Amino acid sequence: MLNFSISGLFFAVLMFITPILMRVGKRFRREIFLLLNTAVFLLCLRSVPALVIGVLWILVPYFMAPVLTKAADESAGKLQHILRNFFYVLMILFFAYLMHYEWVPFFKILPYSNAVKLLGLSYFLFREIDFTMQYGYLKESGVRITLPDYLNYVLNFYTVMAGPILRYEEYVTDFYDESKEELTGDMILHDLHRILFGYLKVYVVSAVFSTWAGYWFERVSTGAGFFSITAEFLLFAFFNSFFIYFNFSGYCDVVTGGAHLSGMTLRENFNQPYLAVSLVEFWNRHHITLSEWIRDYIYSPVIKVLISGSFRKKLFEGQCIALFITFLVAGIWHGTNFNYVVYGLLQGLGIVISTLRTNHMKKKLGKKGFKEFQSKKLVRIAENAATWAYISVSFSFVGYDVCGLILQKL
Amino acid sequence: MIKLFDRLPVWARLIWLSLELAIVLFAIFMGTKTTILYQGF
Repeated sequence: MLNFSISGLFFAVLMFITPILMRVGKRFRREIFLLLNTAVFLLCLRSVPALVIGVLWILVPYFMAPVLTKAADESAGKLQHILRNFFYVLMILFFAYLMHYEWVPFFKILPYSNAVKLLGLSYFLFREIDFTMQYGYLKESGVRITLPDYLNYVLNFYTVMAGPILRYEEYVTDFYDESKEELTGDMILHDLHRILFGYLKVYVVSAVFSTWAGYWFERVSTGAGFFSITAEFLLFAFFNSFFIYFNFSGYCDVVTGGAHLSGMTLRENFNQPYLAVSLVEFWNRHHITLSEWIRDYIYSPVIKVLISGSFRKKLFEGQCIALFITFLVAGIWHGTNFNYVVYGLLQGLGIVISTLRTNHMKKKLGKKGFKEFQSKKLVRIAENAATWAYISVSFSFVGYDVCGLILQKL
Repeated sequence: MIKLFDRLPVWARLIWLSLELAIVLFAIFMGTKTTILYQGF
């Protein structure tokens, strides 16, 4: 998905060096962490313009946060509210420009170079939005806010590539938590196991599934006959979904273990997602921190707008539309080509269908009856299989040009 | 797997870790092409 990265070896070395540095120089652990985060940020830059954009992208929200908080206050004027919203719109537009969405014709007119791409751009955005939106609350609650802490929060190299997405309060509270247990031998072994198990998932298990997915995708591309193509496509989708799960959860294991060795606790991002019996449950188990982020910063504002406007008396319909928009946006965020739009549409549609079905069943059977129905073993197996199949098919648009394949077959 | 690992005696955990390390290094030396799948960038 990306054509640039921190070298795997460099990242592995960082995993083992950082805990030693941060534990030996305990008094200066914030500064050591900042030094390492800045070094990783600088080493991943591709050009001087990228450095300028990166510095602005990170620092502007920090200095704008107090202004934005003031503008959000009820006593602020209408113009201030408009300017605040304008700032966020500008931020998202600039993000979209830097991502360079291939399917948006407008971006093709604007001058662009791949050299301005930043590693961790979208994860920077998640954190900046959380920081600026929560700034007032953080100040009121007396949460420590300093530039080095903010920079460590935004640049945190453990989570900059693919999460888990921390909240500022969560990060700072954890970083300065003095009630944490001292690292014991058992904990070190546990964390080392988590790191190596994560690498095993990424380099061995996900690699095997990736090869199989690639093989079956190739078979679909060159194959003929509706039934054989469908069967081959389902096999490809099945292996690809496993590849995504093992690759991503393996990465999360590596960084969670590494961060814990350095004295930081990262949130768990996965909870056996393929045991889910509905799409709603799946997203509560898969990339949990992203699901929570989109709930707080996309779903909540969208539903607020909808139910305060034309959906005032149609709450359920408003909820369905908000869910659809949320998952469509989350899908588009995942990548720059049209496949991700389809992926977002499928996720949005799936979530809405799942919500409609649950609502219908609850009305028909009653809440208690529906719970009893769902607890039946055969029903659980069928619902799990259906969820799994739907997720696998929609995930096939992640990383593979399935739209191109469909066009080629048509 | 992680819960099982934590219950083992130290010597067994060390052997387990060595095995994991050996498998990961073997995969790397065999030229595994899989890297971390970035979500966005």
